[in-house]
Amino acid sequence: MRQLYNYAFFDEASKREIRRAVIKGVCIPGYQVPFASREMPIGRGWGTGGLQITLSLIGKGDVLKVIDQGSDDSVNAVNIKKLVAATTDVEVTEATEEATLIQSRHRIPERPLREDQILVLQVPTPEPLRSFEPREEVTKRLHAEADYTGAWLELFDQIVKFGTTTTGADHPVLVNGRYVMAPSPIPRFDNMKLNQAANLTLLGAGREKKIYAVPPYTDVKPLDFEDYPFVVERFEGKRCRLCGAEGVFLDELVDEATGATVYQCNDTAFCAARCAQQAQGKEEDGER
Amino acid sequence: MMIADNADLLRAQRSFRQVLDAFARPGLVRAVEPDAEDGVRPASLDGALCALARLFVDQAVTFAIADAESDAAAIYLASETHARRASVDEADFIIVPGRADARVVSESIAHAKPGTPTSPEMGATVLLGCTHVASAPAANEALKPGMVLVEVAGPGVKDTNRFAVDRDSWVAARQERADEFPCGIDIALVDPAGNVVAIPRTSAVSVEGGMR
Repeated sequence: MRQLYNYAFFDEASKREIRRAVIKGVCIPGYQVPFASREMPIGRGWGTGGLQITLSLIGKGDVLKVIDQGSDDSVNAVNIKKLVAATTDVEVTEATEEATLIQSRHRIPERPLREDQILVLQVPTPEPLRSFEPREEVTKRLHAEADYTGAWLELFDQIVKFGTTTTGADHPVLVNGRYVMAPSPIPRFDNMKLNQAANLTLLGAGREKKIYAVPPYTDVKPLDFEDYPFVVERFEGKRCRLCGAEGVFLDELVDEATGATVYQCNDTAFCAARCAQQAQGKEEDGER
Repeated sequence: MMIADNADLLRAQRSFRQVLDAFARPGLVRAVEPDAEDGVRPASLDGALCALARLFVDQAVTFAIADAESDAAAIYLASETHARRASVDEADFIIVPGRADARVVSESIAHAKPGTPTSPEMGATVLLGCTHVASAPAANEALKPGMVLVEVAGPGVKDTNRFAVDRDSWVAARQERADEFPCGIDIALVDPAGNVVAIPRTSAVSVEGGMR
C-alpha cells in the first residue's frame, strides 16, 4: 500500500498548533511565541521553522517562491520547494511578483513586496539577547520588562572597540516601539524593508521552537545611537557585472582567471529578470 | 499522487488564511467559510462561528462558551474538537454566540485572561458572534440601521481602517480592561455569513459618533 501524506505534509492538529502561534505572533509584534516544533524531513537549522509556517499556511491557489541567501537555485531552496510541491498541488516560481508565499533564508527580495504577499523568514537564532544571556528564563524576563540595556551595551561595546557596530547581519530592531527582535540574518541592507512594509512577515525558528511576526504597516527601527546612526552596506561606484544594477545588495566575487574583484546581484531572480529584459530590448532593436 | 486531502481540510486552510489576513490588517473584513448544517449543531452556534472556533480549538487548548444557556453548544463543541471546557477567566478561547446580550459580551471581554508579561501569548482569544459585520459604507451610502461604524488604528493599519458592525458593547468593555501591553486579549468578530474582522490587542479602537 502506498503511503499518502496529508495535504501539506502535516496532520491537521499540527497545523492548528502552528496557526495559533502565528496568530498570537501577529497580535504581539516582535514577541517570540513558543511552539511545539515538529520533526521534519530536513535537519533542524536547514529552514524547518520557515518550512513549518509555510506548510501551515499553504493551499490551492498559492504560488510558492523559496530563496536561500538570494538564490532560487541553491540546494536548500530547491529541496524545500520539492517537499512542499510534492505534498501540495501548488505552483512554484522564481519570479518574486508571481509569488503569494515567499520563504526565504537571509534575504528580503529586491523587488518591494505587495499587500497580497506573505514573507516567511527562516531563523537560526530568534533571541536577540542570547549572545550575552544564555538563560531563556532570564531573556524572557528581560523582554517582559523591556530591559534592553544589554542589547544597547553590546552595540556600544562594538563601537568602543571598532569604531562602528559590527553586526554583519541580524542587526537587532525595535518592533512597534516595544520588542527588540532578531530580524533573522538578513543583511543590514534589508532591515529597513521591514519598516512599514505592505506585506506580512512571519519568522520561524524550528530548532529554537519560536514563531514571531511583523504585521504590515508596523514600525521597525534598527537599534542605533544618535552619534552612531544605523548604516547599511554600501556599494557606491559598484554595479552588477551581469545586469548592471546599482543600489542593490551585491555579492563580491573574484574572477579566478584574471584575479579581479567583480560584483553581482545577490538576488538571482531580480538579476535574471533584468538580464532577460535587456536581451529582449536588444533583440527588438535588432529587428528594427 | 501522494496527497491525501479532503474538502474540510482545504476549507479550513482557506479560512485560516482569511483570518490571518484579518489579524494582520485589523478592521478589514475578510471571510471564513461557514460549517455546513449537520442537523446536530445547537442553534446558538452558527456555522461561521463554529468554523472559526474549529480553526483553532482542539485538545491542546481550553474554551468557554459565554452564555449560561449554551450548555448544548459547549457539549457539541467539546465532542467535535476534543477540547476541554474552562471558565471564562481561564479559557484560551472564549466563544460568544451571536444571540448573547450586551451584558454577556461585556462580561466575557472583561473577564478574559490577559496572559502574563513573560507569556503574553496566553492572553485569551475572544470569538464574538455578531448579526452583521460589513465594510464601512461608501461616502454616498448610509449606514444600515442598527449598525455602528468602528475605526481602527495601530500595527497592520496604514492610516485608519473602518468597518460596520451591529454590536459595540465589546468596545467599551475592551477599553475598560486597560491591559498593559504586551498583555491583552485578541478579538475576532464574525457574522453568520462568515464575514470576519479581527481586533488584536495592539489596535486602537473607537466608535464613530461615540457609543450608543
